[in-house]
Amino acid sequence: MNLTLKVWRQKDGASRGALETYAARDISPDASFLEMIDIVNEELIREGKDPIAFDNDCREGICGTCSLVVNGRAHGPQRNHTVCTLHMRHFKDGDVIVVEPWRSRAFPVIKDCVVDRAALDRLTAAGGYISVPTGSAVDANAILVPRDSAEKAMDAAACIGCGACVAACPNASVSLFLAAKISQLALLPQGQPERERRVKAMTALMKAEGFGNCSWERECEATCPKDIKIANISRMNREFLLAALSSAEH
Amino acid sequence: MNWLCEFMTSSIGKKLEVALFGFFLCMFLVVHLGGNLFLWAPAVGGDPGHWFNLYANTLESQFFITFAELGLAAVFLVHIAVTLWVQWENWKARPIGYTTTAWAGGRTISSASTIYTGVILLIFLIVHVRAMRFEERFGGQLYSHVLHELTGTPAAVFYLVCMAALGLHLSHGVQAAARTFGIDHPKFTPIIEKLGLAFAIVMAGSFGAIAVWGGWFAGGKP
Repeated sequence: MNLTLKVWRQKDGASRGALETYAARDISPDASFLEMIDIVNEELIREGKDPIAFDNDCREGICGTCSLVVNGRAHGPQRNHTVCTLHMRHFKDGDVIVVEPWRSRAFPVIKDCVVDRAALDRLTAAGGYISVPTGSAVDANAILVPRDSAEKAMDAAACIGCGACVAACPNASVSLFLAAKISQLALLPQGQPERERRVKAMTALMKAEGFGNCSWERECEATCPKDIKIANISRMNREFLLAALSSAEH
Repeated sequence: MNWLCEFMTSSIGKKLEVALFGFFLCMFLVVHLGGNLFLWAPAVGGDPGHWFNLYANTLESQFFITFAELGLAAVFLVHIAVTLWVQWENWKARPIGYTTTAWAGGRTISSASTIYTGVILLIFLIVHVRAMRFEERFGGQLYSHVLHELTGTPAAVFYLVCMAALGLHLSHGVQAAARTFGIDHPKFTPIIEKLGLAFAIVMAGSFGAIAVWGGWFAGGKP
């Protein structure tokens, strides 16, 4: 396959960026999207040019590191996939492909298509955990968890923290990511003691980090590589409302 | 009271305010439509406006009407002001947009246009209140004034466009408000979505039918 790439190039966070055009030649339809960029980068390096910077790690859709917007879609055109598991057979010979970084005030560009997603780590650090002493694991049957709750918690815990929900949301809202973290713990007995503090701290930081507000556009749900549902955002809102009204803290 | 201020200005708190006051506005729409249906009540003694004028005059003579109008204005104001605040934050959240945009299938015409249909409805609100409330303290004859305002193609088209915007606004707004309140359930959410759509169609259709009737069929202008 021969393709034309229009890739966002930006020297650093302080510089202005622009789309630059590159030719991707003799690409196998079985190559992954990131392997295709590797091939283009090898060509750029041979020519003595700066290769395209992009985030990647596991290349099997589980680490949440890859983060490219392909032809206007976070992670590209294939539903429930990360861009590292997207293959070139989903494109046609001669296609023009536009590649951009996640766009959000909370995700500043570091270089080219690499953005700083530390805001997601700070949100998790604000309450996306349970405070328990370390030690040997508690017996799995010591605390009974209804199967339905366990299933829903597991579905929410499938979030890989890639930030595609923010990239896809017309409002650059982080609600789906946050709701997944809050749901995963709110559904389990272990998450109960810090339930109120967690949702209040995490939603307060969401605002401070400069993310937008959810307006139920559902683009996050349609884009999420792990198929996290917006029912989690409703659960987060319930948690928030209950915490605000019932908490004794001023 | 610090907690209340934090709650009201939080991201979810603001959405809850928009949803709650939007719900109040939906209730107002039902009452308003109920009153408007008196336009089609049978004539009494050759007077087609008998029931409508009676309804309007009875409402106007109630001691609480001024308070009710002020309360309604406050509901509109909060719904609009908080929405604009939320929208402003949303625009700020992505200072540099994408050069290419392709939606993944979650967005609908009604969800994508909510802020714009809201602006159309705000313009409609100003025009409508000015024409129906401030131009005419109606002297007991609101029926003939309504016909005078509605008659003619320009008025009918204006009202129809605005009612189409109302339909789009409500078709997203009702189910979004339910979700904002935390209502999401495999059994009830599909019903709420259908009820929201039905409410939008009934409201836009009924008010639109009044505009068609007033514009082309009621014979309000000589």
